[in-house]
Amino acid sequence: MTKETPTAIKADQMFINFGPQHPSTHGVLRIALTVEGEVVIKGDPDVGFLHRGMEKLFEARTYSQGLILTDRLDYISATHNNLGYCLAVEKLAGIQAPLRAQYIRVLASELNRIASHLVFFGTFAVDMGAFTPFLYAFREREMIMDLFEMLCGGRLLHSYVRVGGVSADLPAGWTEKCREFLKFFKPMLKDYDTLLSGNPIFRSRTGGVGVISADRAVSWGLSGPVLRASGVNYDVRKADPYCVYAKMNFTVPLGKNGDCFDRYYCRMLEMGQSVEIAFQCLDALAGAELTPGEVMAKGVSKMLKAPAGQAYAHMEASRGDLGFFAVSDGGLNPYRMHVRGPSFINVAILQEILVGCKIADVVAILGSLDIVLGEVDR
Amino acid sequence: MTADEILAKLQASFPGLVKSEAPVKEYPTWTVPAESVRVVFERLRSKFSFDYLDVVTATDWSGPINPKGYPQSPAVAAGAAAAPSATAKDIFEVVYLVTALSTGMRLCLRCEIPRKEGASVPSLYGIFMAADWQEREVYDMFGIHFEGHPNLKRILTMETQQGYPLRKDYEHLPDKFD
Repeated sequence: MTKETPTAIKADQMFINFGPQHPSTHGVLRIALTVEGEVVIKGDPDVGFLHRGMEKLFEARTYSQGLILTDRLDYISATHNNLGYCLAVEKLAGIQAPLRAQYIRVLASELNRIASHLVFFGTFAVDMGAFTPFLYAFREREMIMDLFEMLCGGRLLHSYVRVGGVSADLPAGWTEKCREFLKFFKPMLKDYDTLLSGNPIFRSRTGGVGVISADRAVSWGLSGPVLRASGVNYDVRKADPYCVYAKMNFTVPLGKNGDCFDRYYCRMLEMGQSVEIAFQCLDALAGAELTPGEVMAKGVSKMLKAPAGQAYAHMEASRGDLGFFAVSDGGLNPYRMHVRGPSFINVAILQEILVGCKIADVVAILGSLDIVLGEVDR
Repeated sequence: MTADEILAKLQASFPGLVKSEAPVKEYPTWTVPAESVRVVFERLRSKFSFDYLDVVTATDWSGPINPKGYPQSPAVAAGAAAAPSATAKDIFEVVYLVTALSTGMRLCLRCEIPRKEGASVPSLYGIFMAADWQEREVYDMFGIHFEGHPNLKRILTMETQQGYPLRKDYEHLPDKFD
């Protein structure tokens, strides 16, 4: 958070503070814009308004207490953060979660991915001036939140994935409810296409806007749908599989142009793939080889002590490659815990791609990156 | 090409580059001297197609944190104020994780620098743009300078922030928000 003041601008230029209290920044992001007429000359994203010092807080807590902090990183997809943290701590302490827990983890994180992409779909449409898709998106998201409420009691902040497994097995009747939702949701994706993806106004607002070439995307370290929209085939679920993703049958949707529309449409296609993965998990969970109730590794104490060492675990969160770098000195609390937040790294490219675009496109570009400020500022 | 072969090729030009004794789990981990950080990464990128910089971060190895001013559970607070742990050293360790997207190979490079005011390592800005904000974050949190970074200023904390929060001896001063 640094003061960016309009010092060196020419007479026909204007300095605009975009945010931090602007609804289309999806939180508290400030962009210091210098414009000449309608054209952006310089755009400087300014972050840190939601900084809570998470990485320091981890150092003063035990491993199991640290878990609830991760919910508050990317609060739209809490299960991904829980999972990323648990994978890192498990790697550090040498714990292996039972197979049933791993299937449940994958199932929960794919449901969460759908919920998170639905928030993107709704809010991005509102940013572009279409209000109706928002109502559809949030109706479906509500159903996923109900499913999570049945699972763990939490609707937004789940803390469902725990170090060593998950907090509880699937409750009675949950699988039927989940199947019912997935069957209802799958054809809805076609509705979304007729509602928004094919809309000529939406197409012209997003097509060819905010183009990121593949080599720039790689150099800036982008990840998730933002990277794949530029045509780079990199998905942690395929490139470095964790849990049971190696057994899952799914494709990774890729874009061609790297513009706002491709970033939008990659996420829409990803939701369809998430449904497929969720069905495969449900089928596997119904199988006889996974003992019901066996969802926690044996001998994981609440006051976990990891042996001295360092470990890095990453996973594909809904916004990209989420990594946790954990260091232990053998004590009760992590010696150091670094979070590689995909939103933080994705938002940095704004300073490059905003230059030369129109003011109205700033909202489109920012919306298409789909950042969550809780994760940017940590 | 395996990580060991790449290391052997690089060691011909950079004798200071060695395998770390305590590696990051499941990652080939090398220790690189501060002065050759930039050239090693340039070589890794151009010759061995390591094109994706995952993480730039750092660890302060000067001992357990100063728990003053932080809410803690009684269980932790009892042990936390104890003597510095056996691993305590007076160094900063800058950690880089890098990936080759085409082969899927991953590497961890570490650079140990003396823990003092004005500690610095060369910046990777320009080789990897991903280094831009991540290096600013490390500077903000540890006060490690990245030589050659064009815009090295605080990013997450306020410009009025005193001290560097992730250093182990950082003491939180109560302000109007407490």
